[in-house]
Amino acid sequence: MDGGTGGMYARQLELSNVLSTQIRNVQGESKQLVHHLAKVKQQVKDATLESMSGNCTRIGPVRLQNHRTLRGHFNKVLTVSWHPDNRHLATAAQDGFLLFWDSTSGLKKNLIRLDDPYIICSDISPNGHMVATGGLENACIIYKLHSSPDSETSPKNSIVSIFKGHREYISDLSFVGNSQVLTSSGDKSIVLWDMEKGTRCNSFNGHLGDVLGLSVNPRDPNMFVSCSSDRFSNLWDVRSPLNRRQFQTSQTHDSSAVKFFPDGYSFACGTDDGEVKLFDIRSDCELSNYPVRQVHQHFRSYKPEEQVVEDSASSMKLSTKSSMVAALDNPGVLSIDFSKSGRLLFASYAEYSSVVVWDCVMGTIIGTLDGHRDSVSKIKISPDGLGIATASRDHTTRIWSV
Amino acid sequence: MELGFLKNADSAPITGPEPENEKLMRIIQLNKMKSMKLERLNQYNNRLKRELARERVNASNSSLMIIKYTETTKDGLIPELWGPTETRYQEKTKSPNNEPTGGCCTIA
Repeated sequence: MDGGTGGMYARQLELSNVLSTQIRNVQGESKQLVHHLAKVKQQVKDATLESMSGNCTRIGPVRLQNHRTLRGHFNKVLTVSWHPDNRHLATAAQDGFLLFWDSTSGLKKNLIRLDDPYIICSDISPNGHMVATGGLENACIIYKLHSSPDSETSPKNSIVSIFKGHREYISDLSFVGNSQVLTSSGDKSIVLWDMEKGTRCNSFNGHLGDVLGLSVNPRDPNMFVSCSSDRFSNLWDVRSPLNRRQFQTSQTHDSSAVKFFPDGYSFACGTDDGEVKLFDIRSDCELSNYPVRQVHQHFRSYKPEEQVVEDSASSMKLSTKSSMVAALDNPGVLSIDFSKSGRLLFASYAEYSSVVVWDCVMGTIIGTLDGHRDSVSKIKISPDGLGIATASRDHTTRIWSV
Repeated sequence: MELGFLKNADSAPITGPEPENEKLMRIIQLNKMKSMKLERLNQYNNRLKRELARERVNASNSSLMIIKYTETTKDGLIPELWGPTETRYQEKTKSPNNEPTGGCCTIA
């Protein structure tokens, strides 16, 4: 009997040694693979977008005008989304209301009293019939959107769906087709909800921190990219939630804004230290960056007399004063969006009330949108690319165009 | 002692002094952990291999493709490249200037 124990012990000891050698071998292999991968990634990175832009036509300063200022909210406007007709848009603010506007006349068309007044994000469905909202109460609520005059008299705005399941706030959401919604949440997950089934289709787990933003690929609605406080941006496929591709967005800072480039092969990501970077999926690397240093320089050398809008000089001062408060909300890059061709990259920063217009290809600042009195929490370009809507903490939304 | 003996007889046909058993249990535990670690490392390596096998386009090529996209997609916000565009906002801003004169005429 004693010999049996001894024999078993000897066998286990032998197994232990075998396992140890195997672990050592595999660890060695990992090291080599990591080294090899770093080398391959370095080889691929043979240029930047800026270095390849030699033959590109330079564009001068862009002059975009503020055509409408939509007043009606009584608190910070946090989110804005365009209707597919390019004319209407929905804004939602901390006052607990969602307003539906005609951007050409500047008139309100409808109002929805939100069930969750602490709204963070919203999106209008591609058919324009619904608006999805998400916020601090962890639920994604979808409302029917009435814009015809006769429905304005209806006493109640009907809720189409309520999706509960996230354990933390909903940071961003996007419609995928007309019946599915993707939501990213502070509980580190992203969930795809189906309105016909009335429940979740899929969960995407893999981030190690709060998921702070997402963007659906404009070319292929099965793919989307997310950004998180774990400093990684993940590329997901709706059909295989277990696989993901990771892009390191920063070494030190959370990333809170992400947007696909219109061609669907690259995406831009903004981080809390104010940097914006462009990543390419084909090359699996960073192609370009838009440093916050340039933004600071631009505003320092800014001459108020050049401005068209008379009160924007004072707005700059106001914004620097209130930046302390704004920084408590969320520092760095607040929102980014691309123009129709992707040449212009619009970015808003917590420290500035003006929206910065970057030449995405050259990597230079070619303009600003001045007028808001506090930082801009959301920038959205209309589907046809002709209208820019900026929702600001100064309680207003502005519409800009050429 | 008797209880301990029974317990051992129940779980495995091993008898003997306690320390021997403990030693055996510990090494079995250790080996379980080691094989789990090995499995995790193998998964990690497989992921790395998959990542290595992925086809990558050179950054210069993707840059050129991005530039080509920006040059071939019409962008109404850059009149410098695409010429002036009529937007729905310009029509509206013009009309208030025209309306008062028109309005005056009809009243007069």
